[in-house]
Amino acid sequence: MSIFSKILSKIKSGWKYYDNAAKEKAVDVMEYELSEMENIFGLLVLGAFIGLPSPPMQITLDLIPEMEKHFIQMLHKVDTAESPISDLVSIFDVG
Amino acid sequence: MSANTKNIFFLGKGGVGKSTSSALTALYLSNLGKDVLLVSMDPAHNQSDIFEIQLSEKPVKLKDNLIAKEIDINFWIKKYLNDVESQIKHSYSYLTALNLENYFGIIKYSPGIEEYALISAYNEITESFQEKDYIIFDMPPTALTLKFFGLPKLSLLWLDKLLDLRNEIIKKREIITKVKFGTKEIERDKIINKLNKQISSYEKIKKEFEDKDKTKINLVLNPDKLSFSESGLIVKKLREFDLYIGNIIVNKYFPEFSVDQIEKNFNHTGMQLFPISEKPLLGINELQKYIGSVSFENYSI
Repeated sequence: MSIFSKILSKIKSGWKYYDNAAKEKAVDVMEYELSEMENIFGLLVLGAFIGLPSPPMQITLDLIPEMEKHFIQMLHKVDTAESPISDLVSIFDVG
Repeated sequence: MSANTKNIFFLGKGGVGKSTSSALTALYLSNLGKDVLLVSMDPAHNQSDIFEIQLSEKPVKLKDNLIAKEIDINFWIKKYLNDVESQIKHSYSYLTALNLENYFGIIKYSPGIEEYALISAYNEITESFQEKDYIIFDMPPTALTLKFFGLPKLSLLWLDKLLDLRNEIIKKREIITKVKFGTKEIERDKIINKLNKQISSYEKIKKEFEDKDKTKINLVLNPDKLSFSESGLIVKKLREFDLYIGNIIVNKYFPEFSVDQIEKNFNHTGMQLFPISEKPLLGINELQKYIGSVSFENYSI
């Protein structure tokens, strides 16, 4: 293999590594957004359990069997609710 | 639900004679040879006293072509909550289900459960008695009845918004899966299935309520001021749900009373008059005698 080919191969693998890292970072942010959207959905449907305005009870009760994850997430959010900034900072890897 | 079965609802202020008017209508129609089911949705359950027969959830034959049943709201609430609880126990981990159990004891007292119990009963009845020509519903007092009629529209407002948000979530999840794994295939979302199922169920009920050939909403009132003002409120509220009065029934009518006031107040021409009776209308024989003395010419059913 010529030196030129070796350099090209190094550049390619370096680019691939960088591309994967960038993709992972982008996906991390999107996953955070997704978890926030799921959290909002959970709060909208299950709000009655923590004193928020909520849809007619039968809508909540009908969806509850499929919403264990949301229920746990909602309770977990109560723990982190006092420090939303630190939660956000850890996602964007600041500092 | 059979396309031929007609549903007739009787509503009005407490004490105006919803139960008597619905009993008379049920008897009148069965006398015409129509196959009729009379359903008491009112927790006060006056139909048992009117027909002098103990009614229950199980239909009771009153005469040829006429059966009647009473809805026990608590039975429907209990049945519904038990179903949800067993689904939760089936799909949740032990600890989460245990946490939720604490809430279930109080859910039966939540606002909205009573009208949902009535909607469930309505669904079950209209599905089970498709062979009937008429199903006549003697409705509860105004507040609960209006909530019953408003529930499909209110639920659809919420469900549409929840569906929009769910669709956004799914779209985002698809993008993430595609970036991460290079494929768009994701697990079918059970929540969206349930939302769609609820939407189609409420759309069906709303359509049935709005179909003037299928559903008649009969407003019962007395020739007095209090009854007029509550009836006006009922008409206004029903309009907000895109529902309209089919017949106005003036119960305890007396000849000195001019029906022009009703025509003017409610912008409704032609009404069914049930004149005040000298004898109490109790028992099938008294009801039949009364029917023989009344004109049903203006009754659109």
